[in-house]
Amino acid sequence: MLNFDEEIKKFQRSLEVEDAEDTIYNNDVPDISDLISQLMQEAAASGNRNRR
Amino acid sequence: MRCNRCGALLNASDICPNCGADVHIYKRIARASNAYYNLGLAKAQVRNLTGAVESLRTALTIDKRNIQARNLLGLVYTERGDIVEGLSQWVISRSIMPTDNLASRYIQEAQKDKEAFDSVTEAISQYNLALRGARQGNTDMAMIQLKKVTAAHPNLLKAQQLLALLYIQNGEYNRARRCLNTVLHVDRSNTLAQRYLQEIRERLREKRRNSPSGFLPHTEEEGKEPLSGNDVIIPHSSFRMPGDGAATAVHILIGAGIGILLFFLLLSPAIRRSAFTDGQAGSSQLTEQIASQDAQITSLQSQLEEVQRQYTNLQTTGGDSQDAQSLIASAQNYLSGRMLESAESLADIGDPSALTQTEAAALYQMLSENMKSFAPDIYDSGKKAFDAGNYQTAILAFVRASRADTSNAEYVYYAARAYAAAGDMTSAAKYYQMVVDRFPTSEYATEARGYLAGQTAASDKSTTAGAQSTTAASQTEAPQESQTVVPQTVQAQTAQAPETAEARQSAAGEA
Repeated sequence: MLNFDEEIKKFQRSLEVEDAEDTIYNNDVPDISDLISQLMQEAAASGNRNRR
Repeated sequence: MRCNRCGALLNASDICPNCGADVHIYKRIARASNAYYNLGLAKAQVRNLTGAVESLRTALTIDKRNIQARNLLGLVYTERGDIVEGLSQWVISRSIMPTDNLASRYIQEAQKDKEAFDSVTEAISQYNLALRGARQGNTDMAMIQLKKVTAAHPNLLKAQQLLALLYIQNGEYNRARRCLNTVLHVDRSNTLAQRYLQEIRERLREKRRNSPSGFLPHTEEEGKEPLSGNDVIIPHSSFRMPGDGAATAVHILIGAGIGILLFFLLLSPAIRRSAFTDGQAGSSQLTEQIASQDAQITSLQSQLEEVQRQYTNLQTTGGDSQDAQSLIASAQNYLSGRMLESAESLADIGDPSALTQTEAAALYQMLSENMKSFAPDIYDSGKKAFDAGNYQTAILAFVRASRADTSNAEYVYYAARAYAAAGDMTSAAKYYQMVVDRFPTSEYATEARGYLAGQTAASDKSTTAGAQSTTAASQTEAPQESQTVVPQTVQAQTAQAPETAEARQSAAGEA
């Protein structure tokens, strides 16, 4: 049975024009390739440290 | 594919040709992102917009530089009514790749019609207001706003879904169903819409189960909502489509009546006129026939009058001879309409040349024209008598027939046979001889010769005896005939048959 209150909470407001700017600017989140690159860099850096 | 560090175009090598970075891991990541993009594309192509959004977002999570996935995501958002999300994706895509990017064209298209763009953004604002109102419990106000929004922009799926939810809450299931069907028309696999439809079905089922008059047929009335402010009442017009049965039948009958009336007014005079013309032609034809028949009657009447005159003359001037009496009898029969008897009487005249009186000869000539046509009838009567064994009657008939039609060998042949059957061999021989003399090439001549050849071997005594017995038989038999003249005539003919044959032939030739 549908719970109106629960359902209404699931509805998200739609983006308006004023919100577009923030959305665009905040979009630069790291994706998996960035994460892997970051991991590889950290792995390389820790490897160098161990060698020393 | 471009390098994730410097953005240079990569080749088949795993080293960037520009910055020298190791890109083999990046390449694998990009391939995974492309796979999700392809999935999203396939879903978008079948209007599974919800599924497409999920796949494309995953593709972008893996590789945010996947321009194609981003552009497609923007397109899908726009189709769902989220124009601002769509525009955002295109702007990001253009910032990643400023040149040679479809996103530039999409942005231009979206901003080309300022009015439409403003209308959409206004609708989105109203939706947000309605959502806030619904959360706060102002469902009526929210519904009013959402109805306006969905009427102007039916593609704004969030507004449709929220409105459907509010309808379901109010028990207005039909309206909710309409909104949800609109959503499913745009986004075929919209999970929320399908879930709400399932909810409606369950609620209706529950209602039916709890209804007190469960056995009565349920109509759509239970889903019918009371009228609200937005409902438009259309009054029933008095105009009725001409599809009603009784009215159609009446109209057809009226049309048929008019058609029949027109037929009688316009067509029937022409038909009558042509019938009259045909009738006139037919009557003129009949008139001609009547005229020709009148002429024929006139000619026959004049012939009759001539015969009558000849007969009267003959009676007064004399005619005691047998031939004259036969002629008179024949004329009498002719005047009385007894044509067969007239021919028979005429055939009894042995020697037409013996009629010396001019009137008698003329009368004979006139009557003999009638005689020949009755020869077959006389012959037939003779044949019947012959078959019945009545040879004397047969002899009489065959002799008359042979006199009436001197050109028929069969009549002479059968006369000979009848004589032979009756025992009058002499007369039979004479008639057989007549066959041979007058019809030497006929089929009967062969048999006649055979008989004659047989007879020459026999003695004259048997022929004479046969002739005497034949004579006696003819004297006793003949009086039974209606013509009293006949026996003497036949006897005379029996004696004179060969001579009179030539005379009749010459008489027939002269006639």
